[in-house]
Amino acid sequence: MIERSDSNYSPLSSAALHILLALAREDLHGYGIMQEIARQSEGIYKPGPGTLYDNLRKLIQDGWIQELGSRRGDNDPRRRYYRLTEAGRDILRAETARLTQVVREARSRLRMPSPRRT
Amino acid sequence: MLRHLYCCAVRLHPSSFRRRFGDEMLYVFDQQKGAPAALGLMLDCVVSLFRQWALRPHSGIELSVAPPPTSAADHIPLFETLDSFRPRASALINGAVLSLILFCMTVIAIRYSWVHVLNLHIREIGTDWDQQALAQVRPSRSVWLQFDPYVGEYISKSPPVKILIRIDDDHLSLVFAGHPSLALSPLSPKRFIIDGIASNYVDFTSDGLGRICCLSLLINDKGITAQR
Repeated sequence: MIERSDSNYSPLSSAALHILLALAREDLHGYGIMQEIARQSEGIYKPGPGTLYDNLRKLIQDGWIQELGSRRGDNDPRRRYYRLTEAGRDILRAETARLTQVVREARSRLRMPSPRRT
Repeated sequence: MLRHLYCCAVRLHPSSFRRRFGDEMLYVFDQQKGAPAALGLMLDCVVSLFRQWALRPHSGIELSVAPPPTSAADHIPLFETLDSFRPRASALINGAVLSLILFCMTVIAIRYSWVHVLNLHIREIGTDWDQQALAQVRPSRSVWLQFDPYVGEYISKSPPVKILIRIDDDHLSLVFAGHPSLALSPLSPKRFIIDGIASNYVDFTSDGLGRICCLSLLINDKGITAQR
């Protein structure tokens, strides 16, 4: 788990958060990540390839995402797959906890009822 | 047509980014259907182009771990750089060509300049004036002038007197009847003060061809105008 005191940790950008979240379930290629992000945000947020790959490169450099290369038997050899690393998963957990705290605080201040668990 | 433009825009990205993600960007473009989506990707690519060149200036440099420093043998100091950055060959060539052009232009400007200069060191003026007045009239220490055009005899009709301007050592001198040689210090190409006294000066006047033809001398509150 990433500690808040870690100087390297800072709130993630919207694009980085969505990319990590998209890769949390399975390995995806770039276009697949874009589709998954659009699905997660219900079509509200659609990063373009320039934004996506700029963030992917940074996340790879940080060691939060691993590039797997192309898969055998794939339809198009240009597709390269990406995987969330353990460090990336820890970052995603830490960010989720932070956002949960933010949402809880916001609900408290706005006097909104907590969502019911189904 | 739009795909061709998109290819060009992808190729304009920094080489490291293009090598790594260029094919995938094209793949994403090929998956889009319809002109609006393609236009959106085109716009995104242009923004990305700006981002990669302007905001990611070191994106073309692959980070690498610096090799461990080798131990100094026989107490000889070793110097190493930590990064392996080297400018592109084309940038070096451009820089060399521009430097050469600039150097040649400077040499030509010096060689064919119409102002032939002489570095003249003006001696310090020591007077009893107050500092403000001194600051107004103090000549600069170095004045670039050519003295030859000023040298000659100047004749005044009223009063009838002959004034001689000549070069003594590194300065102009003024000689006229009853006075010893007086040193002239230039305030400007047209005005020289006499013996460091601001109220005494000589104004030179040029004719239409730029030749010095006349001087006006003001010394001890007396004015004399003389023709060459």
